[in-house]
Amino acid sequence: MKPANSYGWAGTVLKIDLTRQEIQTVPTKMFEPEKYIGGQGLCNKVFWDMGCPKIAPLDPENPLMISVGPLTGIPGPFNRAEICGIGLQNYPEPQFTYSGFGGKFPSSMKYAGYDLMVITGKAETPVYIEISDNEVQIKDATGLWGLDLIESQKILMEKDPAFSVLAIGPAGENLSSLAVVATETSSTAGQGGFGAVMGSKNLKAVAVKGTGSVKIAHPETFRKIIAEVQAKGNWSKGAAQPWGRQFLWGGDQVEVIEEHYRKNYAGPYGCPYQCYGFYDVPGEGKGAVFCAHWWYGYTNPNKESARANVKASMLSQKLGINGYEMLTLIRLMNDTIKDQILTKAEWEEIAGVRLPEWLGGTASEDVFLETLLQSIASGKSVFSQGIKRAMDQIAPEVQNSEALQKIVDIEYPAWGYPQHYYGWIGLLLHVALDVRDAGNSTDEYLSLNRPDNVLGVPPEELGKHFDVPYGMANFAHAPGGEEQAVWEGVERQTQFTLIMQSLRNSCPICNFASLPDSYFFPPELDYQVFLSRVLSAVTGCDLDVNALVKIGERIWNMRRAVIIEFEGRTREADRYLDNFYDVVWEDPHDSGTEERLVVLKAYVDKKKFEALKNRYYQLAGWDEKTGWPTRKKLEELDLKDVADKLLRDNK
Amino acid sequence: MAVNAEAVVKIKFKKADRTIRFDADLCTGCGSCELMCALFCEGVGGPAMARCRVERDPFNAKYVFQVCRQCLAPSCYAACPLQGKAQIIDSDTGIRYINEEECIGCKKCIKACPFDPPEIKFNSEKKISFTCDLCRERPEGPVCVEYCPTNALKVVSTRMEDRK
Repeated sequence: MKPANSYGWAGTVLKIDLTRQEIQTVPTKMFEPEKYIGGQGLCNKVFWDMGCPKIAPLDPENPLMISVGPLTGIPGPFNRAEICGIGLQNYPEPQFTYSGFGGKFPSSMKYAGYDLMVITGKAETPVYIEISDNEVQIKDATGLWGLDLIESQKILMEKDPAFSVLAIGPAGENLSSLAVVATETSSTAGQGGFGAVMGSKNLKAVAVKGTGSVKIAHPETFRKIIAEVQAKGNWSKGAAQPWGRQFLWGGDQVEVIEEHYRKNYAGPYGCPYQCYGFYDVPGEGKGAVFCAHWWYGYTNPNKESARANVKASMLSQKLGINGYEMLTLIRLMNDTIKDQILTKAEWEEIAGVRLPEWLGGTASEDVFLETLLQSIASGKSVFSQGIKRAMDQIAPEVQNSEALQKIVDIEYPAWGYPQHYYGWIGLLLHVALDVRDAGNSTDEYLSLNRPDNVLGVPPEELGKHFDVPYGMANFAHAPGGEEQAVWEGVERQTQFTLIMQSLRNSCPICNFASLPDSYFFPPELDYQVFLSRVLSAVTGCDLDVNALVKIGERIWNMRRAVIIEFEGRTREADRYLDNFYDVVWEDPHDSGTEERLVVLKAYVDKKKFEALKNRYYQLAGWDEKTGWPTRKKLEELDLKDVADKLLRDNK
Repeated sequence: MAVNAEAVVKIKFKKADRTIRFDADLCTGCGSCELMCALFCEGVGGPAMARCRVERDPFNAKYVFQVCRQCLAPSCYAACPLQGKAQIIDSDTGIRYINEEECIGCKKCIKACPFDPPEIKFNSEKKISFTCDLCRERPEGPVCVEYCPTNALKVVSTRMEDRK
């Protein structure tokens, strides 16, 4: 592939050291962008080059990396950024992890001329970074410290509405591992606890504006591709998926919320899907809401609680709290009270809040939500350190200790992230191999395994086309159920998804724009073909699907190398908590029908799981005993230097 | 005696026979209009080179689409030293546009534009002014309208006989 820096990429990496107040720029080409693209791929490379130092998440030296890709800033579902660094949400130990976000910030960063920002150090007093093209300043943020996430952005944008602002709320300032980094109202890097990483640097916000444009190598070709997609009707509001655009769960409440509170739709800049609903709760605030933001209503979809549900969403956004963790906390409260594992009184003591009526208490929902969220954001709640860690601490001290630990372990089966459709066997393997939940790939497994399909493509066609197993059978149903789980061949589904995820997080492209069953079928608009064509047109690199897939595999193997180097990952660590195996557990699941949510019983057979791992390592070209990429595989992916370092002890 | 201002203007300048109508209730501020404009008209990604723009208030979900108004009495046209060659009013359609071949980049039209910021921009590479010409030569019509995912933009006729 020819070297590419003139088109697509902005060409510059910005390094900011907050301790020394030093600002430095480095050409992006130093990090071989044509090999690693951008986003997550570029961050992996930078961290690898740093030597994967064993830094603690809140250590000033933890590099907070914000990275876009060659496609960021052009029209289409490409305006994402990736945040990478050592996260504190991961369990049992911190990990080099990632989280993505949209809004306008990623594009503005690109127009200002940057592919990547690496922020290290710690300012003595609160600061924010102001970037206006090549003018980069570290400014005093004392007046912003303590303000909520929305208010802080508004103040910075008052100076000039052209600024896009990435900020943290009080949860980040107070170093909660539930703290998010966000821009606008709902474009959030929710996972990893990066809000606390930013807070630990005394960094309240980054404001950026730029006057540049993204140069496109072959604009005529790109226009043609866009026209084709447009002709297929693929790019239109709400076409991507339904679960962000309206309240996802709970029949009657949907009507109330839609009628009283939804005012508009919203979405990332330049993206035709606009898949968020925009809500206005008088007296509480306004903002876009996506599925995880409906955390309160998931367990409590009563019609009367509609307002509380929207309020909960708005308040957690303002405070900068990860809604997905909240969803699990409320679900744990509900389930453990219902199953008499914990009493209402125990929960009130643990959480330090009075429970609302629907959880058996007497508090109003307003008081419950306000107290719970404010205490988490203050950093002083037991839950500020993350739900999994908090529950591990609580479980030994309660009467039903064992039962509680079991339910907690099943809610948080791996890496400290809440469960999300873990019944899909392909996804199950994916998460075990990674450092976090499957994140934006969850939808891919849903798409590969859902019983229906949006465009009516026969499952066997898709299976043939993608050479990956497809269909409901790849679900870890309970033994004796109507459908028996099929484990054979599922490793191909996982490898396919890991490769595509690596590309999505690096090019970048939104996962909703790249679900295999729905949006780029038939084959001429298959999203691998689509992505290779767009990337070639924009960057001028000549990439066919094979070349694209090789890059994706390289990025994934590089990330695996980083994980191994950072935490000494071995095959044994590609696992779940013991309580998760060989028991029947519930998996709430989008049925794809009007009933929407169904609860399936799932069962993970440990022996079958270990056999699946063997098959995966073989397929991926990794050593079955260690779970490490082999030299042969790394060299095949042009990663000889990585092999030399990683495999230094067994040359 | 009352003067019919419109009639006076009509004698001097032919009115543009179409305009882009913006429906604020449908707009979600995605900016597809400005990005597609820059892509189709200038071959780049980013609003800096777009001829239209979106004023965004993401905290209230309020968005306003802005573009050259095709003024009845265009001060840009009046200010142009190469009137009729660089700044042109199409004799058939009445569309005001800039002929890039003839523009000398004096920026007088930009200064004369009554809007803030001006709806005419300067291309510092080509050293010429550029503004929206309603994609007058594009058979499919304005690209911003075609690619608006929410149908917030529409081309409507301004001719009396088309009004109902």
